[in-house]
Amino acid sequence: METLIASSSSTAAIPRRPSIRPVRSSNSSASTSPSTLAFFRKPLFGNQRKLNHSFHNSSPSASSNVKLNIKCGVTEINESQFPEIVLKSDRPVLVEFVAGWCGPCRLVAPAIESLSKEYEEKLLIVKIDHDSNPKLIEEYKVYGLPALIMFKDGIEIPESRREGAITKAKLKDYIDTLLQSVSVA
Amino acid sequence: MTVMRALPATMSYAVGFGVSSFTAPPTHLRSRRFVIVKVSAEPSDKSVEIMRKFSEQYARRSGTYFCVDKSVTSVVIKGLADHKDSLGAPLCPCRHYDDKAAEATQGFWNCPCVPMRERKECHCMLFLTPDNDFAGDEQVISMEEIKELTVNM
Repeated sequence: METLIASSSSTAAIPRRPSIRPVRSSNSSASTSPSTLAFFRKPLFGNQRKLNHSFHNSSPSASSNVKLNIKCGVTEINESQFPEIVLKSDRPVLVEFVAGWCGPCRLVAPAIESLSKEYEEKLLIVKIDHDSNPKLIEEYKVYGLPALIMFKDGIEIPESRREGAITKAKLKDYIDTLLQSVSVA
Repeated sequence: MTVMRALPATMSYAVGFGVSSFTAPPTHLRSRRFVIVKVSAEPSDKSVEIMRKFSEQYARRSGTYFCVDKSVTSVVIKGLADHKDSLGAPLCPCRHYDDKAAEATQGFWNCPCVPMRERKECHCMLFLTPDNDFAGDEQVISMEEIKELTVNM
C-alpha cells in the first residue's frame, strides 16, 4: 500500500536540503517539490528509467519519444502503455511481472537486465509491477511472481509462461528456444 | 528543530515515517502546500523484527535454509512485514491477489503458506530445502543484515 510521506525514508534528502522547514510532527510531509523527490526516491531495482519515461511522456511529442526510451536495458511500463509497447512491437517482447517486495524478482533482475542488453536488437524486455496494474494481471491471469510471458505480434507465445526464479543460463536457454520457435514459424 | 536532521542513515527505519498508508496529514498541515508523493511504504521495524524471528524459527523447525544470497531473504522478510502492517497478516509477497484483504482472512497464502506447510515449497525462496541449488547453510539472519541488504529499496 502506498504512502504519501515524502522524504522520510530517503536520507539523501537531508544533506541536500538543509533549508527544509522544521517539521512539527513526525507524520508531516516535507515541502519539497515532486521533481526533487523523484530524484531522491530510487525506484525499484535501482534504475531511473521509469521516471525518465514519465518525464518524456509529458512532452508534446510523447508518442514518438516512447520508442526511443526503450533502448537499452529493461523499461518498466504500465497497463496503459502495454498495447503500444508490447502488442504493437515489431520485435518479440518478453514481459516480466514483478512485485515490490518479492525476493526472487530481485534475484533475477540483474540477469534480465544483462540479457536485455545482449538481445537488444532481437528482443524487447519490459517489466510490469503487479500491484499498480491489476487489469493486466487479470487479463493474463498472472498470480505467481516473478512471471515471464513472451509476446510476438500481439499474442502470447504458447508455452512461453514461466513462473518463479530462474538462473541466467536457464533464462538464456528459455529465450533462445522461444526466439527460435517464432522465427521458424 | 528538524526531526530529520538528527537521523543518521541507519536510523531511518527506526522512525515511523511513512508506515501508515491510511492516515491523511493532520488538517493544520493540509493547508500548507506540502506535496504528497506516492512511494512504497517501508514496513515498521517492529513487524520486520517479528517476521525475522518467525523466519529463523520456522527455518529451524522445518529443516530449511535461507538463500545463499541473503538479500533475497531480507527482501521477502520485509515484504511479509509490509503485508503484516497493511493487512494484519503476512501474506506471501511474491504473489498477486485480486483481493488482498480477503486473502489475508482466508489464510491460504499467509506465511507459512499451505504449499510450504504441506510440501516445503516456498517460491519466495525464503525457506529452501537443503537440496535446492540456491540454499545456503544458514538459518539465521540479523536485523543489521536485513537493513544493509535492503538499503536501496
